[in-house]
Order: sequence, then C-alpha cells, then structure tokens
Amino acid sequence: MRWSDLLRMSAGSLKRRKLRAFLTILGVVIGTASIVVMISLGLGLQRSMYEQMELDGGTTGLTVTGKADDGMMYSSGSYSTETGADGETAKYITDETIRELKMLDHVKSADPVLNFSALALKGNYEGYIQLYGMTPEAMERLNLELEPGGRLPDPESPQLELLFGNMVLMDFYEKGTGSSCWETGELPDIDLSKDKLFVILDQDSYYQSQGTPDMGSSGSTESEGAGNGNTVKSPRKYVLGACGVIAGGMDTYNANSYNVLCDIYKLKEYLQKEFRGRAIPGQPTTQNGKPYSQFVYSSASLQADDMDHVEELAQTIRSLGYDVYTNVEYINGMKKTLGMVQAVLGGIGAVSLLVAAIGITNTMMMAIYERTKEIGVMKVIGCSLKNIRQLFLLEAAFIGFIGGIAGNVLSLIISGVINVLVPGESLWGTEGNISYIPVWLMLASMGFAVLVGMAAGYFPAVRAMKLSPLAAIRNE
Amino acid sequence: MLAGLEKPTKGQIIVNGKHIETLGEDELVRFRRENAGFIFQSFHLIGTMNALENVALPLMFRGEARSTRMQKADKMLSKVGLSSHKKHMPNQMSGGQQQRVGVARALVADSDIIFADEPTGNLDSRTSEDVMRLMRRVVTEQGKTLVMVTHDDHLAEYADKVMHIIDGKIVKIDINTQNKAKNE
Repeated sequence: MRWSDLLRMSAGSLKRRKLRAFLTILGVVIGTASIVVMISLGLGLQRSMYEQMELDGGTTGLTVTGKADDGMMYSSGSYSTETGADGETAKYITDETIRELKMLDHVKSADPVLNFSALALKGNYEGYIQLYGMTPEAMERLNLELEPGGRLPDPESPQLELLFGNMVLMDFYEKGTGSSCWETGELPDIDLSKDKLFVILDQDSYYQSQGTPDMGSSGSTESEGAGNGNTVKSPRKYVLGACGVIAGGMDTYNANSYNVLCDIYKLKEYLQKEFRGRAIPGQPTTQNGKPYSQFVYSSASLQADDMDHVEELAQTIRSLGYDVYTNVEYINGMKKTLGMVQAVLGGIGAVSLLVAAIGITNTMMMAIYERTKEIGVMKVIGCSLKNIRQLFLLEAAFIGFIGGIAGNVLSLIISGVINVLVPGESLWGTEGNISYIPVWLMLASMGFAVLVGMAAGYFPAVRAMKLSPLAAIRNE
Repeated sequence: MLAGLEKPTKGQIIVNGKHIETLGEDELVRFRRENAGFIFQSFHLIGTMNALENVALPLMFRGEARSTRMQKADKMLSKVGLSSHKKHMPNQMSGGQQQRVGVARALVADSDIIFADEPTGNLDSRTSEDVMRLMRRVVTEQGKTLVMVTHDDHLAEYADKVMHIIDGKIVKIDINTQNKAKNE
C-alpha cells in the first residue's frame, strides 16, 4: 500500500466518528497543554534567573577575593596575622596579583575592585554608602545606563567623582528620628545629581569625635584621646559631587543599585591620604598593627573569554590560593534545582498526558471491535498485516498529532494570559515573563504527543493485525 | 482452505504449483492478493467507501496509484452493469447491486481464481439469477476459475464441475457436459 493511501484511510476512519475522535483528541490537547505550560513556567523561571545573572555581572565574570588565614581579613581591627595556623600564606589581591591573574589562560581582563564603606552626610540626612572603586575600563564594561546628563567618573578629575546607584538614597536616614525611607516610604529630599555630599571615610574617628564635647566644630580640631592612647582626630569631611546617577527609579533593581561607583585610583589616593601612617580599615595588617606593605584591594573582577571556560579558570585560580566566586557556579547549582523543578512540573503535566494515552488506547480498541468485520475483509482481499498495523498506528498518531498542535495553541494562549495577568516582577522579583515557550519545547511536545499516541495505539494495532480473517468475516 | 484462510490438519494444497499449507500468514495474504478474488455471501463491502472505492480496494493493497486503480474500477463497474451507481455507498444500494459490486471487486485485480461463498445466499431468486449469469459470463469471457459453494442444486447447474460434499467428504463429482457444450 502506498503511504498516501494509508494516510487517507486512517484520516478517513477518524472522520467517521467525529465526536469520539474529538473527545479523544481533547484528552491529548489537555495533556499536551498541561505539560507545555508547566515546563514553560520552569523555563520562564530559568530565563529570569539568567537575566538576573546578566545584571549581576554576566555569566563570564569571576570575582576573585583574597584568602585570609583566619577569615578575619575584613576585620578593621588589628588582629590579623600573615600566616595561618595551617601554615598557608594568606593571599591578598594586590597589584602584583592582578598582573598574575592577567597572565592566566582564558582571562580577557582583570581589574581590581576596592570596596569601602563610608558615611555620607547631607543636611539632616546621613547614610552609609558602599564605595566601589573600579578602573575606568571595568566601569565601561558594566554598560551602565545613566540618567540623562550623567557620565562615568573621570580619572583625570582632581576630585573623587561619584556615580550613584539609583537606590542609594533608600539607605539614608534622618539624623534626629533615625527613620529611613524603608519605614516612611518617603525618599530623602536630596538630588544626587546636583547636591554635594559630605563623605566621611574614617568612620571610627568620626564616631569617636562625636563623643567628644567639641563635636560641633568640624574640621581639623585635634584632641588627645585618653583610653588606649590612640590619636583621635576629627576626620576630614570631603565635599564630593556626583558625576552621574544610574538610570532607573527606586524599584528597578540592578547589580549596582545600592553602590556608589568611583575611580579606584582616586579612591586609593584618598584613603592613603586619610589614613596616613595608620592601617586603613579593611586592609590587612601585620602582627604589630602596622599596615601591610602593599595596598590590598578588596577583590579582582575577571572576565573570562567564554562561559565554558569560567569553571576551569575558577579552578586554576583556586589552586593559586584565592577565593573565587563566579555566577556560572551559581548558575550550575541553580540549573540542578531548576531541572528538578521542571521535572516535577513536567511530571504533573505528564500525568494528564498519560490519562490521555489511556483514552487513545481505549478509543482504538473500540474502533477495532467496531471494525472487526472490515479488518477481516481487508485481510481476505489482500491487505498485508503490516499495512493493517500501520493503519491503526497512523490513526493513533493522527490523534496525537492533532492533539499536540491544538495543545500547543492552547498553551500559547494560556501562557499569554498568565503573562498578562501575573506580571513577572511580583513573582520572582525580576522583570520578564513567568511563562516562556521556546520553539524547541513546542516541537518536542508535538513529537512527544505523536509518540504517546503511537505507543498507545500499538497494542490495539497489533491486536487488529492478529485478528483471524475468517473469524472476522463470520462475525455477523 | 483453498484460499488459505484456514490451515488443513493434514494433506497438501497445491494452487498454481505452490504449496499453500506451508505458507505463513503474511505469505498467505500475499498469495490471496496476487492470485485470488473473493465474493462473500453477505457482500462485505466497506461501509464507508462508495462503490468505486470498494472495487478499487484490492488494487490499493497492491500499491497501485489512485488514478489507474480508479480507472480500472470504473471499467469493471460498467462491465457488471452498475455505471450509474459508482458514487453510491453500500447502504444506498440493493442487495443485488451490492453483490455486483462484490463481483466487480473480485474481478478487478485480474486474479486467476475467484472464490465465491454462497454468493446468492442473501439474494432473492430473480437477482440470484442475474448475479449467476453475470458471473458465468465474466468467467467465460476472461477465462477464470470460479470456485463456488452453494446449497442450491439449481445454481450448481451453472458450473462445469460439481463436487458434492457431505460432512467434509467428497461423495460425487459431476462433469456438466451440457454447460460445456453450450459454451462451445
């Protein structure tokens, strides 16, 4: 028999019992749609996760931090030794390290990052800001979107220029009441792009000087502190202006929303001037409290040339003794979780397709009982066994195919409705659709529906094939 | 048994120099497709196909293209005198007409042997005569072998050779010389 004839015959027998075919197909439609919609939710979750990753520095970025021997590296106190108990030398990110990292394979760029917490004052408000010193190149690479009129910090500028994140202001609070925007819901009345801020780098001294009677006079008043013999001097307040603000309102989060970016070398210069002769907070010190001989950065941000090399690179750097954080490793962990979520969701959907498969088998069995005589006649007249099996398999496959197409159309509609009714932000905290149906999912689900149809039709088809022709004809 | 629908418990069946009893089911189907046409007591037309498609069915199983098999079926239907009922479904035709479609279906594949199992059992005597005459004519014209089973002695008179079977045993073989003479 020709394929065209087989197709025509099986399509014809479907058409014969329209309502029954429709109901069977409906089962497949629901099964397919539930699988596709379920998986699309998982995929939407995965995609928004990736987008989040993109905001957090992309998939090729690595953050390398030094390894302190005892985890006390960031303690601003004087307790920090150079060698750990296990004899491993503490690793710090210095200019030397950056050069070393740049030499590694697959490294596109390596830039130091200096993270420093400072206090900012403006009028009646004060707030802690996270200063992020970065090289101009690294800042360029962030592809930041700035509010109109803003620009990246100019390394040539004599003053430290600040680039504010769009959500920095939310961390400011009123001095008297201590209420911040988190409680009142109102933003401080500061225009970051125009107003100048007082920035205090030496917080310890600031608070100590506040405790002294002459706190009102700001400036260069020096006073001898009693207690431990430390020199308490009123810290300098730098009047710093912004060169730009990152675009976005108070509710669009990105990786740098809460940060204040500035030029790293300028920041280094300022810090070294401010803390001359003393240990800069956050810098490791030698056993006797003296500053480390070299300036130490908080971390180094690396860009790998390709996402596939990130893990390999991370291993290499770890073997050098540094701590590495990559998004890829996070993503890989996430992928496992997401894979499980998708499997569970898909499994729930698969149950309904299984029910539909049973429906197909049932329908086909019915069709065979109904057409026993016909099958017998066909066998007597000379229809080969293979053809008979093909006829019924094709019929079942048709049910699966039509159901698959209709199911996909239905799930596209459902997905659209979900995306309109439930905005992605409210669910995952990031933008993007929560239901996402890629083309491969549509094709795969269609193929799967056909496969399920054929699998469900196989048993009845073999049964039809094995019918004794004589018995079938006699069946009056 | 001759048509390969049932297996003999013992003995041999040789059709056209071929042993039938040893063939597998798939080979039997092929044997029937190539060598045999069938006419049934209760017609056994496919209810969802019109007369033309029913006649073309054996050709379809042989894998002939749609246009050529429709042409052949068309010719065959005209030969059995049903040219005006080509598009009719089986349930729109009388018993005699249906059986004529059955005859056409048995003949269309141009096979050497035609098996007929009480072809007139469900027909009244007048249409029975019609169908018998039709079969007789076609067989003579095209030189086919027709194997017919019947309980009716009158209908058996149409045959060249009559075997009387009682309880599975052949008891008498008549050669119908009268018919032969008539044909010659």
